[in-house]
Amino acid sequence: MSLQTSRAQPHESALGHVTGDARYIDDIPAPANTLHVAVGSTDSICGQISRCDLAAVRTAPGVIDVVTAEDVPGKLDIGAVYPGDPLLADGRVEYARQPVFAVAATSLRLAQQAVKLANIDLIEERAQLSSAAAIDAGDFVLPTRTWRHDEGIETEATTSIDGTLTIRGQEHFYLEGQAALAIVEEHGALRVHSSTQHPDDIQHQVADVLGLSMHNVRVVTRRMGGGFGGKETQAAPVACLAALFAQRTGHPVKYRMPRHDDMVMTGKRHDFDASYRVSCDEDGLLTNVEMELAGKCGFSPDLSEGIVDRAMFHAMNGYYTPKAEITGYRCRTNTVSHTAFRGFGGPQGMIAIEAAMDELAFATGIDPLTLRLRNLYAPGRDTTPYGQKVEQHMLADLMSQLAKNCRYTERQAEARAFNTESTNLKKGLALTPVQFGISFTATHLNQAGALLNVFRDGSVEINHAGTEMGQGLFTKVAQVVSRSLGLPLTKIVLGATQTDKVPNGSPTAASSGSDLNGMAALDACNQLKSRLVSFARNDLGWSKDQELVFANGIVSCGTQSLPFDELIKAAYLARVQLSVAGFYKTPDIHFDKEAGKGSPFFYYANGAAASEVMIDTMTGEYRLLRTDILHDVGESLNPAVDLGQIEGGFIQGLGWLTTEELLWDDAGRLISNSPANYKIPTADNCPEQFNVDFFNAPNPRPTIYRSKAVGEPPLMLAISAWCALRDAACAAGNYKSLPGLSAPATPEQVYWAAQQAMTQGEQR
Amino acid sequence: MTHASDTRPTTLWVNSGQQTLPAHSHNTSLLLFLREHCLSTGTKEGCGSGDCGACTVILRDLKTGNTQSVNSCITPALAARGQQVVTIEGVGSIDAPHPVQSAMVSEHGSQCGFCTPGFVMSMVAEQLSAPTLAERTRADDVRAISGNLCRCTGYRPILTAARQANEVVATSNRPPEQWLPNIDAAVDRDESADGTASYCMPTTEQELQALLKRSLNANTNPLIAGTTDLWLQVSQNYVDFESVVDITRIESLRAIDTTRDALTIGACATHGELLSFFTTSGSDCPAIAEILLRFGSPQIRNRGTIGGNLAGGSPIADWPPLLMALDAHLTLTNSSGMSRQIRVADFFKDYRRTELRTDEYIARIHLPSIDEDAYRTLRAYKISKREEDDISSVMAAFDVRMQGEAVSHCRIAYGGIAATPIRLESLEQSLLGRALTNANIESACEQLRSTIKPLTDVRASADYRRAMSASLLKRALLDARGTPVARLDHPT
Repeated sequence: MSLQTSRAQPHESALGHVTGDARYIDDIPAPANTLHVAVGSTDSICGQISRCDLAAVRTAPGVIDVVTAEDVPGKLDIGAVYPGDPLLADGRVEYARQPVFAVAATSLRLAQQAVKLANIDLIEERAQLSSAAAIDAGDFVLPTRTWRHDEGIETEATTSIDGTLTIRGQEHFYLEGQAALAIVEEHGALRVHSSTQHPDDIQHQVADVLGLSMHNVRVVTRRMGGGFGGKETQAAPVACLAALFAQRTGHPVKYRMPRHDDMVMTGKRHDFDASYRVSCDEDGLLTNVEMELAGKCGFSPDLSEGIVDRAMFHAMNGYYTPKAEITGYRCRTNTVSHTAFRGFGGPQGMIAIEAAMDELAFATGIDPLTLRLRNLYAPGRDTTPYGQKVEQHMLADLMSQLAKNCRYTERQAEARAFNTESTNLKKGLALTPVQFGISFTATHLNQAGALLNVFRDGSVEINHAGTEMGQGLFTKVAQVVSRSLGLPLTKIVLGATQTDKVPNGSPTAASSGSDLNGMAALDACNQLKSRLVSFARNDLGWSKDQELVFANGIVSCGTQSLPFDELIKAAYLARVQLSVAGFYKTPDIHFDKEAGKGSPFFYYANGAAASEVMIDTMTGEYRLLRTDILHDVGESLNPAVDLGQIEGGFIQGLGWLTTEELLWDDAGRLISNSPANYKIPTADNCPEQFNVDFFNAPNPRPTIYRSKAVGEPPLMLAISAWCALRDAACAAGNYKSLPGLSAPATPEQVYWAAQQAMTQGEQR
Repeated sequence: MTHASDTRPTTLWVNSGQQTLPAHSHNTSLLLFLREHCLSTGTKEGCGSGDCGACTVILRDLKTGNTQSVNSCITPALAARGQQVVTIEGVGSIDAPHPVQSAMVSEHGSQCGFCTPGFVMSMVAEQLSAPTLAERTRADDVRAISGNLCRCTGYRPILTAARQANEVVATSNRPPEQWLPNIDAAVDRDESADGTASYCMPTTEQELQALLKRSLNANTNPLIAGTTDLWLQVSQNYVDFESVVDITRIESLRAIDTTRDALTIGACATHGELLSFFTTSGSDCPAIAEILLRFGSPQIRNRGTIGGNLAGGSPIADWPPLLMALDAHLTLTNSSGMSRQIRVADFFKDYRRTELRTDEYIARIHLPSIDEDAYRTLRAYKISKREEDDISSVMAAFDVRMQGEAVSHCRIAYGGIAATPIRLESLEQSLLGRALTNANIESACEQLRSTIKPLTDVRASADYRRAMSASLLKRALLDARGTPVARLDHPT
C-alpha cells in the first residue's frame, strides 16, 4: 500500500454528495413539532426605535412565540472578539434590516409571513455609509494602527507614483444558507446542530445568551454547504435564536435563513479604499511604500481587527521595501458588519500593491513582470514591514518557471501585435504572485485537539475540532490517520465535529484546518502507537530492539506480526486505553499588534498566475482566454483536494474582481440582494485554457507531512486577471496611459477604463 | 375540464412511486413538496428563486416521454401533474450510481456537495435531450450547466466529469432514458393530469375564457404559465394566492405555426421550444438564437414562456426588442372570446404596465413569414454583467437593410434604456434613406444618446446605459453597412 497521503483520494463524502445522501442541517429529519424561525426588521437605516408594535405578529397564524432583545435571559451581545453585536436590536437600529425581533412558528412560511406584520418606527438619524465619511468623522469601530518600518538604508528614489483604488467587498454565496437546529435535552441542556465553521463559538455564544454554562450546550457540525469565512461568526445569531426559542418553548427549533435574508442580514467581505505612494530607484527597486487601507467594517468590530491587520500584512505581498508606513483604518458605517471571507483582508491589501506595481512599471517603463521579479524578497532583502524574516525564497523560481511554461513573454508580444491590428478588441496579459502568511494572527487560536477512538474490533473513529465545509479537511485528516496507523481508509470513520468530543476548538479558518487538526490527529495516533508498542513489548514479548511497523493493516516487529484488529483486541483485553486525545500548538509565532512587529506567520504559501484576457472597447465586455497557475502546496496531502482548492479559489477570486458587484443604494440598503442581481461566476467564466500545476517543494517547516495550507492563498491568484483587464484597457489607448480600474472590473468599469485610456491617449 | 375537488389530496409520480399531495396545495412549490412531504432531501434549496439550480429535477411527460430539467423551487407542485418527477434519489444511489454520479466522484466534481445534486440532474437531463452525445463540445457542456451555480470547484472538474459521463453513456448499450426509474404502466395516466379548483388547468381557450368571466383578480388569482418570474411572489414574498389558473395545458396556446404568410407563436410556447425552432434549418434565426442561448438557463427556458415574458411588462425583458424589430403583433383575447390585435411596440404603457386588460390573455404572437429576410438581417445584442443567466443591462435589436448606399429598411428597439422596452421610430425615420457614412452613424448615435433617459440601478449606471445604447447602434449600423466590427465570440 502506498502512502495514504499524497494520493488523489476522493472527498470522503463524494458519493453522498452526488446521490443526495449527504445531510445538511435542513435535511436532518426534524422531530415532531419542530418550530421554524424568521427574523423581523425594518427597512429604515438607523436610529432609536420609537415604536415596535408586534401585536399583529403575535396573533398571526402559526406563531407560537415572539422575542425581542428584552427576552434574552443571558447576554445579548454576541460579538466574537469585541462587544457590539446584539443578537436583536437593543433599542437602536444600526443598519437596514438589522434583526429587531424574531418569531417561531409552525412553518417557515408562516414565520416569514408573520414578521411582515410588524410596525417598527425609528427616530431616524443620518446614516454614515462610506469609509470616507467615517474617516472624515474620525469614527472607527476600533483604533487606527500604523506600522512603520525603516531599515535605515539610504536610497535615492527616482520615480514615485501616487494612486488610489476602490475595492468592493464580496457576498459569500455559500450554496447552503445559514442554518441551525436546536433541541432541548435533559435538565435544560441544549443540542445544537449548526452549519458553522466554529462550533466552539456557537457553544460559547448559545450558553451566554441562554445564561447557561458551556457544558450545558453541545454543538454538532457534520458538514457545511460552503463557508468561505461566512460561517465563522455569522452562524452564531442563527444558532442562538434557534436555541433561545427551544429553551423558551421546549420545542425543537430550526432556523434556516432564506437566501434573501442571508444576503441582506449577514456580513460580507469588506470594501476597502486604498491609497498609496510608492517609490523606486532607477533600477525599479522599491525605496519606500506608504499605504493607507480603509476597511468598511459596518456597525460593529466583529473580526475587523484581524481583517484590517491582515490587509496590512499583505500590503507588500511578496515584495521587499527598506522603508514602509502602512496604516489601517477600521471605518464604522451604518451597514451590516463585515466579516471573514477567504483571505481575511489579505486580498484587499495584495491587490493594492499589485495595482501600484503596474503603475510603477508604467511610470518607469520597466516591464511589469521584470519589475515584480526584481522586487521579490531575497536573501539580505528579506524583512517584511512587520519585522518577520522571509526564509523560503521560492517566488523568483516559481514565477520564472511559470512564465517559461506558459510562454508569457512570447504571448505578450503576440498580444501587442494583435492589439496593433485590432480596432475594438484588445488583449491584455499579467503575471502576478501571491505570498500569503499562514497562521492565525491571533496567536492563541493556533491550537487544535483531536480524539482518536479505537474500538475493540479494530475500527477507528477520528474526531477533531476542525469543520468540513467542502475543503476536504476530513479527507486529509483521515489520510493522516490512515498513513500513521497503516490502515485502509475504510477502517476509519470521520466523526461529526462535536464540542463534547474535542472542546475549545478554534474556528476552521485562516487556511489552518489541516495544519492544525492534521497535527493533532497525528499526535493522537503517535500516542496510541506508543501505548501499543509498550503493550506488544511488555505483554506480547515482542523485541525491544526493533521498531514496530504499522502498514497494510498489520503491525509487525521483525518476524512477529499481528493484524491491527487482533492487536487491538488483545490490547483491550489487557486493559490498554484505546481512546486518545491529541493536541497541537503551532510553535515559534508571536506578534505585537500595536508595535506591528513580530513573526506572526509559521510560514508563507506561495503561488503565481498568468492570465490573458480580451476586451471589447466598444462595450467593455470581456473574456478570460487563458490562465496558467503554479502554486506551492508543499508536499501535497491530497493532490485532488489541493487542485480543487486552487481552481475553486481562483474562480471565486475572479468573481470578486469581475462580475460580483456589491452595491448599496444612497440610503444604505443593499441592492445587490439576490442571485438575480449579484452574479457569481458560472461555468462559462472558467477559462477554456486553465492549466494548474504544483510547485513541488516540501515545506521546510515541520508541518503535517511537510504540506502547506491551501484554502485561502489561491483566491488571490485572480488578481492576475484584474491586472490583465487593466492591461487590455491600457492597450485601448495604445499604451500611452495606464487607466484607473476599480474592483470589481465589471464590463461597465472596463468600458470606462478603456475610454479613459483612449481619451488620455489622444491628449498625449 | 374536470375539477378534482380541493378537499381530497392528489397524487404525483415521484421517481418510481406515487406520492400524495395534500389538499389546498396550490401555493406549494415542487421543491417543498419533495423535501417536506416526500422526504427527498437530496434536492436542495439554494436560493428559492430559480437562479442557482440546486433544486433541479427532471420532469418526464407521462404521455410523450419527453424530459426536461426544471427549477423545482419556482415550479408549482401541481404543475407536475401528468409528469413523472425524477429527483437525485431516482437517478442513482450509493450502491448503484448513475454514470454522471460516478464521474463526479472520480473527477472530484464536488466539494461542499450542496450544489452537486442539481448539477447531476442538469447533466442527466442534457444526456436525455442531446441527440448526439458523443459529438458534444465543451461549449455544449458549459451551456448544459449554465443554470447551476457552484461556489467551490470553479467548474473545471464538473466539466471534465460531464465529458467523461457523456462518453460512458454514449458507448454503453443502455440509452439515457433507461437510467430513469420505471413507473407502473398499468396506472391510468390520463387521470392524473386533472386540475383542482384552486389550481385550475384549463385545456381549451373556451375553458380559460369561462374562468376569466369570474373577474379574476390578477394579484390573488393570477394566470400562470411557466412561473419563472411570477412564482417569486410565492417563494420570495411569501404571497398566498387564492387560486391560480395554469394555462400551459391549452394546446392552442402552445403551437408554433408556420404558414406561407406568417409565423404564429402561441403565448405558452417556451423559450426552449423557440430556441429549438429558431435553430432548426429552414426556420433558423441566428440573432434570436444568440439571445435565447443567453436567456436564463436551460431550466428557465424549459418552463418560461414567450407570453409570460411579454405579460410581465419588464423594461429589461429580452423578447420585446426582438419582436419589435420584427414588427410583431399580439392577439389579446378576452373572456367573451373577443380578440384584438396590437403591435408589440404599442403594448407597453409604463413601468411594468401593459395594454393587457384584466379579463384578457395574450393568445398569440404574429410574426412575418419565416421565409422573410428579416430573420437573417435581424441583429440583436445583449449587455449584462455576466455572460450567462443574467438579466440585460441593455439589450437591442435591429433590422437595418441597405439598398445601394442608402438605408431602405430600419427597425430599432431597445430594452433597459427606458421604463418600458421601446421601439425608436424617430431614430428609424432619421436613418431611412441616408447613407451609412461614419458621420451619419456618429450623428445617429448622438441622437440616441441625447434623447434617452435611462436609469441607474444595480445592473448599470445611466451613463453606461447611454453609452451602450450608442455602441450597440454603431455595431449594428457598421454591420448593416458591410463593415462589421469584430466581436468577442466572433473574432475576425
